Amino acid sequence: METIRINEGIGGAYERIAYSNMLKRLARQHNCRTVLELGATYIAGIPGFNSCLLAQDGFSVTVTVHSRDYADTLKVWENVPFKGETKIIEWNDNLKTNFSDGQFDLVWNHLAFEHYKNPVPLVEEMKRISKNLVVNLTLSPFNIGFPLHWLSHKINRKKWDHGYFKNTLISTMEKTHRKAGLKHIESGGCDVPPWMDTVDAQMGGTMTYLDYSPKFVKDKWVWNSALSECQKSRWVKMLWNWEKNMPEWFRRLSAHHLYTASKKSNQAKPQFPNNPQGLPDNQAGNF
Amino acid sequence: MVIYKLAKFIYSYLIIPLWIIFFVMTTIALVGLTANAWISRKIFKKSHSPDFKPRTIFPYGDH
Repeated sequence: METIRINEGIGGAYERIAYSNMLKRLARQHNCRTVLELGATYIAGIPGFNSCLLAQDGFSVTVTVHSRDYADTLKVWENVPFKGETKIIEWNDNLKTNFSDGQFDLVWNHLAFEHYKNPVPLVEEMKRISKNLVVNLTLSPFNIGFPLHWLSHKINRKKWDHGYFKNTLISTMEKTHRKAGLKHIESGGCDVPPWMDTVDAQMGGTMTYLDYSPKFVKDKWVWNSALSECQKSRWVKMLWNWEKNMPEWFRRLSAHHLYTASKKSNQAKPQFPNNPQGLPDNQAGNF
Repeated sequence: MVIYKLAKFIYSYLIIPLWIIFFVMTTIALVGLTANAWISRKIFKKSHSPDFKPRTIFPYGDH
């Protein structure tokens, strides 16, 4: 099947590739195969598309989408070259779902956590339906684009619709995961390209910056993360290499997104990986 | 092993100035492209229809 000409811009495409790489790494490290994206949000001009690369990589993906975005989401996913066993479900309440306990290996969402004044019920529901991992991603307030975007909301008298500032922080995510009874595994920054996050800045209805350029320019500058030519692009590879290798403190400071990943306590790894009895290494025959 | 770790550490810090140089260049480009879009809309009255209608990011209401 042919893909429709979705243009996320290099920013949207790289973002999806970056957080998908992080999620794939976590999923593989913790033997996760079934993935639920609870409450797929609408970013970079493409509705409900966040889990597309996980599906392409062979994970069994389920996505819940709000009624507002459901039709658009189906339209987009119909044209993804390979989507495996993906299920897209119309569902409007992230705090209460019909999924059974421990139905999915990994439950995650993107830019949902910070929108809840009290995110504990959200994480508790994610924990209930997860068998193994829970991952939350937020919009980083440390990226230069964030305060500029906040300023543009003020100037244009547009209501701030990017959640509670306090809940965008890693410390809040970690605290909430602990409150929900999860065991923290890791936190960090994700999506660290060398440009500011323009968030949902729209220039006269468009989300890609070359739409007002001559046709021969904009026709050449098409970025769609679902396509292999985009995933294999030398630009994307170079940016990912930088992101992967830069110091953690710099990644957290300049990332467009922050994340926290936790395990359900009954899935916790032994403290000493080479001896499940938990004996100190010098007593456990760690050769 | 020590040399590899040292090389990796140096590389990780070499990325930072490169990243900053690229950041400055992309910021200039973004300013230019935004100005181009603004001029196209305001002076030449051009318009563009997005693939999907822009809307607020989070539809689940204020919890």
